[in-house]
Amino acid sequence: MTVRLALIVLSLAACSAGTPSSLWLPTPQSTSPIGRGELLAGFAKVDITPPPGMGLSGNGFEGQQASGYSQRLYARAMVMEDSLGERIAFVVADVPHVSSLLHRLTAEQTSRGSSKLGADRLVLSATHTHSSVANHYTNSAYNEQSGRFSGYDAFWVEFLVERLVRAVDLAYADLMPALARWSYSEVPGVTSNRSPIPFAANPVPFGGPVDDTLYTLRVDQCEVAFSNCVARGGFGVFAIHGTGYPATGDLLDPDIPGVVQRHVERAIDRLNGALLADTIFRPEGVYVLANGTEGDVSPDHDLGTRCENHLRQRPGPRPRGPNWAPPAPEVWRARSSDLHACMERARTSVARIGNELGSAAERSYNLVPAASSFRIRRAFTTIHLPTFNASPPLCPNARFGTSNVGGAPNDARTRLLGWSFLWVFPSGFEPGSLAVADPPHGCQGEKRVGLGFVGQGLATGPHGLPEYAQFSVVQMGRTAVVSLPWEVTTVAGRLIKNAVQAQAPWADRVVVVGLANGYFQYLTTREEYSLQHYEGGSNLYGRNTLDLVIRVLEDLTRNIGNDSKVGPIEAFPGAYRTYFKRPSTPTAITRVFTKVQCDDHLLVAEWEDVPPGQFQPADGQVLRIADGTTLLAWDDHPNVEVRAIRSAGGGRHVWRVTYRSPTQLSNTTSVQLLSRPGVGNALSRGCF
Amino acid sequence: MGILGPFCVSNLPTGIRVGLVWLAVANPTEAQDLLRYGGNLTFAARREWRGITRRDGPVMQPEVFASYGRDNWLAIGAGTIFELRGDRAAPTYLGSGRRSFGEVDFWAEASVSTVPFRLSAGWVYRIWNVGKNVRWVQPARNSLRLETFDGTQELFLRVAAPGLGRFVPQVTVFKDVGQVDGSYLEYSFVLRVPFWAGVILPAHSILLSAKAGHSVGQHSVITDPRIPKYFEHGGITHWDLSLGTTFGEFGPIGPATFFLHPELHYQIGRDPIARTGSAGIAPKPRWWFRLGIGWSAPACRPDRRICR
Repeated sequence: MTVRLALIVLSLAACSAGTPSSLWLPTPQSTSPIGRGELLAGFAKVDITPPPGMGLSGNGFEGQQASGYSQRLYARAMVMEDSLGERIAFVVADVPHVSSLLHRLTAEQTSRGSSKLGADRLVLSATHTHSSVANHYTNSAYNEQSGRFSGYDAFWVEFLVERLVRAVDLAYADLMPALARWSYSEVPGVTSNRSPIPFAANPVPFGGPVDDTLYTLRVDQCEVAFSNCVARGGFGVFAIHGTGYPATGDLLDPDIPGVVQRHVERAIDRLNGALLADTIFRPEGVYVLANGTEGDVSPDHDLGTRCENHLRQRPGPRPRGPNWAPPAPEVWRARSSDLHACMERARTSVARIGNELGSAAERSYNLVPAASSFRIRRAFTTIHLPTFNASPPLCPNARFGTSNVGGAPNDARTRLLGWSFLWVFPSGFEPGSLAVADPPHGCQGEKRVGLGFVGQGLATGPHGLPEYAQFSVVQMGRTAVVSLPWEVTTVAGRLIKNAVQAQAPWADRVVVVGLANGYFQYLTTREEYSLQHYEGGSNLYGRNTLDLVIRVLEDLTRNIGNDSKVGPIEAFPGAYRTYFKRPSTPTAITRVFTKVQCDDHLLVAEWEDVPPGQFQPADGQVLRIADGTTLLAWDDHPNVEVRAIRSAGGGRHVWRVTYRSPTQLSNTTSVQLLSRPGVGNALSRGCF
Repeated sequence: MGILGPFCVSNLPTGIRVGLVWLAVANPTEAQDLLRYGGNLTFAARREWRGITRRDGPVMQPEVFASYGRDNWLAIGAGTIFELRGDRAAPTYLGSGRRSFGEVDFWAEASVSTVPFRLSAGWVYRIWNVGKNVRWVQPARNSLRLETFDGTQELFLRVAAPGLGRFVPQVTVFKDVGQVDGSYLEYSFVLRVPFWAGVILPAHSILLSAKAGHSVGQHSVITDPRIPKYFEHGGITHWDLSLGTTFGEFGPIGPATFFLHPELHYQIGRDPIARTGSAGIAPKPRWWFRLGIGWSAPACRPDRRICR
């Protein structure tokens, strides 16, 4: 290790100092609103599922290449405008993290569109699914290290921004007179604290180990103010990591939040009396579920769903031949049978947790809103952390600790967790122990910096880690919604809520939306930081960061409703790579089934279609599974998996659909490929 | 966006930057695909072959292969020996003092895995010298002689048990179906001692190996002395103990993977020929060393399409 690090330092020391490639992001400001005298609300949902082939992000280098999708990825938007014309948009995308770059590029377009929503009135956040794509960060280190494939993908950013803008525009176009009501309920048993030791180090009393409160805003749209109202959508906040599926999964999927959102959206449709097959694929209702203070909160996984535990060093695949050949390096692999069984358990666990949480959200949603005043105000600011004059001061340089490298034990670990030389000499890639600098030194205090301070700076490059943080406080009725770009631990979240509540006499509740308008890894308390578990090791700017965050949010809360200037952000996205297959002109082909196999509960069908890129899942429904005329499932269903398998030559590609049926399949079950304009013919094939 | 510092860290090619980070912290799993191609380049202090020193001087052994499949595969390959030093005192395939390609092998292999075993079967065509029609025989005790020899063919069958974990036994049988009667068996045990618990970094394990050669009918005593033979006696021909490790694999730098494998051997000959090898070599146990460089790449580029 030392030799390697020395080599790196020596090689990089040869580099001359200089400024890396950068760009200044736009500073789109909202246009001053004009009131229409009533509360308005609109919702929209836009598919953002990319073609298979991109790298999954959120699990770092342990992520896989996406071979297909199960539930599709969406960006859901809610736009609200109060009677005075104050307007706000909440957008939640099924991605691991958003970035300030995505936020600003989206706001630049929405500020010039009909909604006139600038960066100061757009809250963009992530569901935090670890089964999605994220080569879209503002800073290079995340683009290079957060997912399977490294680099900033400008085509993916272009696609995603276009869809995010479309979601906001559609939600704005959907504005109608509305009623809104907040409700709060506890949902125990679906989450657990994955870092109980740092949690316990906090001063008591601080409540339970997780924030299991589900915050739900139900919004009904009315033909005219307060009359003939129907359920239209909702906005929810709940703290849960998007790690229901382990890093060994190879499908795009919104994870547990996706199950919850669909559960509530179908409930909204049922409230409105709709249960038509065509509306099941994409329900009319929209439930925008944001993540809360989930920093140390994992799903309460079923046993045996952390499939990383099946990974072992195994002899690498390489032919030997008759003569001596150097043995291949060992590779980090699991037996396919072990992996398959584990992924099945993970799928069941995701469904269980998602449905439990979805049922709770549905119960909250069923509380009908009544006519009342609903005030909207907002405050927004941008801060450059390395130069911000904070007291106590922040570290001038972002650094992650050695405990960050091993990942989160029992939730999303990496192969480096517990690394020790010859089983004896630990590396510090673990929670606590050698990850704690003893004695504490320098600005980072107890944090033992991964690769050393200089080594990490050289490895991540100048400006490789995030520097600009965007904060907002939004009054939504009698609830304050705080948004910030960190993954906030449970206790840090409570401290933030208490501080904001003290400055907001108008608020009954404070809700924290994490992972919003950027990404800064974790935000912990001082006590949690001092123990240097995964979250503390991922707190980039040192132990005083929470103090700064609280101070900024207190200032914002005091100044809510005043003008908020959108400050500049300099982006350093690093090297550009292209993984996103831009939609190309589809080649019309005659599609054919090459295989259909069914047993009692499993249907597997393969067919020839156009290649990924031309087969753009985001552009419409692809297939259905039906029993006679009864629709069973479709390609946005947790029991359905669609994979691109292999090229068949001649511009054709073999795709596979797998359907796991909860009931026994009958001999009238069939797979139906839907006709897509310019792509292919409709096709149906029976099971037996 | 302007590029202001062409030599600064952020402007290094992504592959190099990521590679540097990975060199420091981890190596990812090999990008997998059904069709792969690759090769090895081995430098050896001596050309040791089945316990016999066939070249008492440094040799390079390049080999290329293509394979199809992942756990179960079909593979074809070709390799050769290049003698680096023309030493007049030592015999070579070409005769004293000459250096060139000393041997060319073409081979094909099929492997299947069924836990914990791995079964491989193959064929190899050995040409002892390219274009010279020189063959190497052992017509009498304690001597080697080079004569015309077009080459020979062998069928081989290998059974290993990699699924047992760190201790992997293996038996290989080479049945000559060309110029040489009999079979040669090789028994080996490899013990994998991890450097790192649960981590691939940068050399995963130390490989301790014990190997024994066994001649069945490939010795001059029991058959017609006019037929080429390899050994003087039947039975165990030699013992070979080795210590090695594999450094690699540097996957993020493009889809190809590279690795290094140094190996130190201690060889004890039992058969007189295996003990003496060739004229001028002392009949005693000896140390020798080799370094293999491996390379392979999937036919699939994972940054371009889905690789399995």
